[in-house]
Amino acid sequence: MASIAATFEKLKNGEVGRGMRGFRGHVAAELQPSGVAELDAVLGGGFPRGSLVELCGPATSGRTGLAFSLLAQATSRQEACAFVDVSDSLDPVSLAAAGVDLPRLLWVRCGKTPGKRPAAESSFFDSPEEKEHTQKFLQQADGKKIQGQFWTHPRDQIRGVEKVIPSLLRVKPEGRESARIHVVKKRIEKKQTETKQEILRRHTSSRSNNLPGTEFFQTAGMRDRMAPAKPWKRLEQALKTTDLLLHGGGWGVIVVDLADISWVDARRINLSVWFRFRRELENTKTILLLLGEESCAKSCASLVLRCERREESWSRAARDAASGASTLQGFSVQGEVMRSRSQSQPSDCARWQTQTMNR
Amino acid sequence: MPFACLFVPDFSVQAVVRVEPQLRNKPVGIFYGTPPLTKVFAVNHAARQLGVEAGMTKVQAEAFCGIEWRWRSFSEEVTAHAALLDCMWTISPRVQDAEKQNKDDLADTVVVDLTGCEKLFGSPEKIATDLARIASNVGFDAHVAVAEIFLAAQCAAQGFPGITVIPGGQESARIGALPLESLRIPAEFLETLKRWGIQTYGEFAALPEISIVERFGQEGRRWQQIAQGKDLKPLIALDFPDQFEECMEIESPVELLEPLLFIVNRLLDQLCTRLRMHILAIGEVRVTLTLERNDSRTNLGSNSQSNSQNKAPLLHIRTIRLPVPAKEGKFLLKLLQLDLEAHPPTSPVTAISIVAIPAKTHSRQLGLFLPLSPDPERLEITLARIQSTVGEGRVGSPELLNTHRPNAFQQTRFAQPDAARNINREEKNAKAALRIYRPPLAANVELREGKPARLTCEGASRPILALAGPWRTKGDWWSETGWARDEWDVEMRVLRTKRHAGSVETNAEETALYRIYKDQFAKRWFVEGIYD
Repeated sequence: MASIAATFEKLKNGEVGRGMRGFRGHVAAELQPSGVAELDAVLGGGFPRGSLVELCGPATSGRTGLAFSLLAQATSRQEACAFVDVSDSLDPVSLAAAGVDLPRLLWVRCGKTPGKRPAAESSFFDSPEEKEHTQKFLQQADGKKIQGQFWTHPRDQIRGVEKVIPSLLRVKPEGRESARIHVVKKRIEKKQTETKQEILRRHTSSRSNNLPGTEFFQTAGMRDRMAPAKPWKRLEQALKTTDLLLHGGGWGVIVVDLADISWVDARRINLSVWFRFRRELENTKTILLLLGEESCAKSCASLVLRCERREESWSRAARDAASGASTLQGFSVQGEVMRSRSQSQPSDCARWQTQTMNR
Repeated sequence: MPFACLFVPDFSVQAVVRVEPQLRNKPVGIFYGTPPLTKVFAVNHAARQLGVEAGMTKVQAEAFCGIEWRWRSFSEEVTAHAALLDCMWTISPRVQDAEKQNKDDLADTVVVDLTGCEKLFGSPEKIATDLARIASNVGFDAHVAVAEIFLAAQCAAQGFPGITVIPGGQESARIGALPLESLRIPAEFLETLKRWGIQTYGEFAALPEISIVERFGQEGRRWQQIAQGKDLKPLIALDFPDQFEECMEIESPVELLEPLLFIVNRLLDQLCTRLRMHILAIGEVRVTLTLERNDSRTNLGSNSQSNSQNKAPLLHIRTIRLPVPAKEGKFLLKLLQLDLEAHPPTSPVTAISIVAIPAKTHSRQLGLFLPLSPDPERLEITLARIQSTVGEGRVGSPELLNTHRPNAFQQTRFAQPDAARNINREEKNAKAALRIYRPPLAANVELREGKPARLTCEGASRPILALAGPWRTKGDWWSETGWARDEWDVEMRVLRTKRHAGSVETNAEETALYRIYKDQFAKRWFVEGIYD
């Protein structure tokens, strides 16, 4: 009975758990001021260090501005920070205007697939003499390249096979096909083409009725852009980069910007990734800040803050009656605590004003 | 004025064994010469015991089993000599190469002036022992001799194995017992002296000087003075090098990265050991890979000039500059691995040369209240790994350019600024950030009274609910890269609709603030970004 009572007491005090620190250890986490006094007052001092924090909200909700404010606070304390830019949308001018010390910020731009680069291209490390040598080499190289085994892992060699195999299977000698099959194939192709045209017409009518410059949409580039691009490669790069940064340690704030990624795609990230990140963050002073449309780290996040732009703030646009010109001064943002393991309670709200930078 | 001399017997063999430690206890021989005149150039003691001798033809030599054969490498001998000098520089800066009697002599002997070193390093015996130990760390099995006379120290090191210390005044007696072969006298002189019955230094030194001049000329007199241990020239100290080099020639070209890294690892270890002797670290590494050339192209070429150009070695050079000087070879190896994975050579590698630019070791006082920052060495590896993940030129610190051109920035190498550097953050208000579309989204804007009224972009048409502008900017009009644009801040329904699982949903209520602009040169509208 005594042991049961002791266990019950431990459970009650939150002393059972990983590392025997329990839930209490998290409550007493060090806080990093966000740079917004109204929000810090609600959060009891700022964002908890050594934890995963989520800032979610729709477009123009002030989440990026808040993240910049946090970065400015951290860099003003001479801490090194990192910004993992999944959609390559960071504006350095806005960063500087927010007060971020740019040399202390590591900016990682995801999205480009690193391929085997020709040696003659400009390099981060290349000196003029290297370029000269490599140029000379390229001119003289006789094409004796080591295919598939110099520096490539066998796993990489099978990339693209899924594209090649169907084409190989499709290419057949025409003489073997019977005329009947050929006719049937033509019919099917015609049917498919009609269906495509129908879809295209429907698409055009629904999207661009009564619009000037409809021919603009006929370009291939626009058609590509209209097709929803899958962000898996960028997400994979971002998660791997975050993992490397967390393993390296010593960062004050690491921002993972998923704001331009659909929350449907963001939620497809395996939950174990966030658990691993949270585990790596424990007992460190690093804040991992996730920006996104919706919360995707679930219970791994120590703090989830939802930002919203308040409409009445738009009325602050000053209108100059004489010239007819006007300027956007800013908008107000409301932050609501959705989940918190610190002093603040869910549904606590703070409202603050953001300003556009002076041009 | 005592001198210490370090002599490496079978220098050509030891230069090879130094970069191939697996050959250390094996019989090794060195071939030299173009076929069919290839001969054994040098052998080590173990090979000599098996019966192999220098001067044998290749066919004769290959009849012996169990011997590792290598070709003579001049570049490895040069780096081995540099390593030998490094050993001496740990004792004193007054280091000189030994007197070379022939131009073909190997640079296997170096002499250091020990004047004033006794108080620092102890007795001559201790200095000699230390030198032998240091040479052993670099990979040499060397002979060390200490004597009061420069040439006496040199002759003793070349003649006596192990450590030899000759007290002052006993030079003639000690050196006199050495056979004439160890003096490296030209073969014709040696033959004549042998016919006279002269076998040792002492006997040669005792011959009358005038008779030697009559029969051998001034050259003979010089050799006799050397045998007598008389100093001919003053010591001229060599300059300390500003870079350290290790190189290795590979007999069969390497095609894979992993075996190449094994060799790079060995060379880096040697470099780090040499630099550690001088309490230095590596500030910059330059790796030069000599690539295999395909001769087929040379044969096809009809122009003799192009043929001569093609004979130049194909080089693949990579340079890594370190923000923090590194002392560990493993750290550099990882950086080189990541760099070579990103920039692989396109042909098999036949030779590697690594040049290290030394820098003073980084000393840093850590404290409890220092700001949070990554470990510099780990940071470099982390950055290199991230770069290999996201691509080159996409990792670094943003830096604004000194221009009013929109989006003018560059990414610079991320290096932690000095802790003393402080910025004043006076403004406490949160700023509205702009999220940039790269590239900007082309749009079609319908104007009403000269102001945007409806925007069409990405297949979506949105009425503009509120707007602010225009903000007109223009610059670089004197050059081809000029720009001119009118910027507007607009509020409208979101362009990219929120996607739910399996469906696309348009929320009529959701609005956002965008920045759009009209390029006055192209006369086209673009959506630059979204405020957030």
